[in-house]
Amino acid sequence: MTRLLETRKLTKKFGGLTAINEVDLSVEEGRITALIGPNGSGKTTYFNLLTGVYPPNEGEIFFDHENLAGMKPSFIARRGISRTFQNIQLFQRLTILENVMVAQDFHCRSTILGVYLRTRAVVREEEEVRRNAKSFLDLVGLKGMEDQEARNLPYGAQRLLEIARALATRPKLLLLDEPAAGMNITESSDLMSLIKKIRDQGITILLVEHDMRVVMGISERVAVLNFGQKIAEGSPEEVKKNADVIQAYLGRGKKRA
Amino acid sequence: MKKILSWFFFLLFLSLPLWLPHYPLHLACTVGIFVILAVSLNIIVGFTGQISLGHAAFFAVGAYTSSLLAMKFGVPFWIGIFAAGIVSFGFGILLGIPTLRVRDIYLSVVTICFGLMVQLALVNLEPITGGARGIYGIPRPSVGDFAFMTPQSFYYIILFFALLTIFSTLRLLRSRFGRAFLSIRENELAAETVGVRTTYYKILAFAISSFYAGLAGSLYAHYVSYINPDAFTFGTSVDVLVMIVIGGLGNVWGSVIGAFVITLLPEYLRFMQQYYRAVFGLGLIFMMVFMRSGIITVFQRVPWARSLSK
Repeated sequence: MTRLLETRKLTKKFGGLTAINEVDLSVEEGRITALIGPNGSGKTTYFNLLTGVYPPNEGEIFFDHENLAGMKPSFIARRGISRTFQNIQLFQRLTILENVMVAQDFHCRSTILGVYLRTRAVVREEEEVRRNAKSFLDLVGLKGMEDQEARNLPYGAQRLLEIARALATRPKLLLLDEPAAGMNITESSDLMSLIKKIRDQGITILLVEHDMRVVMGISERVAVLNFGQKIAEGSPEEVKKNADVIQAYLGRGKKRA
Repeated sequence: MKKILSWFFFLLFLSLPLWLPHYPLHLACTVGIFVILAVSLNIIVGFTGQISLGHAAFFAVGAYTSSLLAMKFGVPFWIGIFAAGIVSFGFGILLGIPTLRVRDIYLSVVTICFGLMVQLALVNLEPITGGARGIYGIPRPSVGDFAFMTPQSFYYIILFFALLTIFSTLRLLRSRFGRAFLSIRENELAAETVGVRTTYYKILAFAISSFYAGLAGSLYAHYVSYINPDAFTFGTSVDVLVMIVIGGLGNVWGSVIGAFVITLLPEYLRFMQQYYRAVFGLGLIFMMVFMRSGIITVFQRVPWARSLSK
């Protein structure tokens, strides 16, 4: 297995607080990796570093043999990392279809002049973008709602739309930030099979998730963050038994005090 | 129904010079120029979600570029107007650059200052711009032996460019470019993370918008044949902003309607003599309170007109 993503000594400080502290983490190509940890342990910050929302203070982000640390989000997206957000960040007043169409922008070749003259190539590309968008919506199960505005969707569907939009950039690595948040058990089961289906299409997945049923059900590797540091990494079984992990989640037991 | 209506309006506007008296036709020409300004400003404000209170600066750049080309180098209007657009485009890139660093209220201050700077430059670069006296005797366009000397004939040039602006802007906004602009308005962070180069698109929005404003400037200069800095004040920028807000932000036809209302309404309130400005202002306030999304929303409630409002 080759490493698609590898961070080395990745560090982010906010004033006096070290949110991410020298995190070394690697994600293998074609796998589902989960990143877990108690609230405030730095999982979302880690995602924000990977996608360029914040520049890291130190460290490197190797993705596909290229250091992406300090690059702009749009650059990183073009290199093949796409994400969803824990607090949903859709284009609220655009339609569902438009949300997914925008995400294909950097694959588009149409020029301004071409658009003004409405050349055949432009018309064809527009149709293709529309068709692709529909197929991504189909994949996540949002077929037939294309023309509704994103803000009118129920919460769970908004999460699915975020996934469709992220897929539309045709990423190599998909980062999912708490995709199961606010979902009931049927919805999260559907989500698990969707994530597997995406992986089976050759897309590597790194997900942050609190729902342990989802984490243990689909991930092949699990990494654990606590107070900005990586405290464990391994198979789900290994991590479940790891003393440091148990302590991070449940606190120090009396016997060890 | 939509087709019939479109043809009706098209023929109506085509026939205006045949039956409108001199002054109303002059107003129609003014409306046409402001349609171009409003539709273009809407690209920045309504679609890309940036603020600009300096649109008159590009109007001025276009007007002076094409006037000077015509007066000093004898460049014909038909070339001058596109040169005006291109020079304005360049200035648009310049003003677009600050948008990468400042936004909202801070951006509005930057754009106001830009407008003031351009105006001051026009007043003080006297050897080139004629200073406060401006430029006189700007030639009317001509084709062969025919010169567009009357408002009746010039009207058609303005109509042509206004329609060109409206329909080319509609095409632009229904393309990948329009989607990228809208994504920045809706959520800049999300736009970036799906690979939209927001810096590029923001500058592009300013540049394209300025191009159209430059065309409007050139039309204005050759139409009235006399320009001075007073035509391009902060007040003009505000007027255009009011047009797009009253008409409906983010809607091309809304801007067209806004340009009509803001240009014509004061004229029809003149019978109130010294009070007409006050009544006009009050009217705008009421419109904003009761139709916050603009006049276009009235059309959106009428089924056969709905397609117009998209």
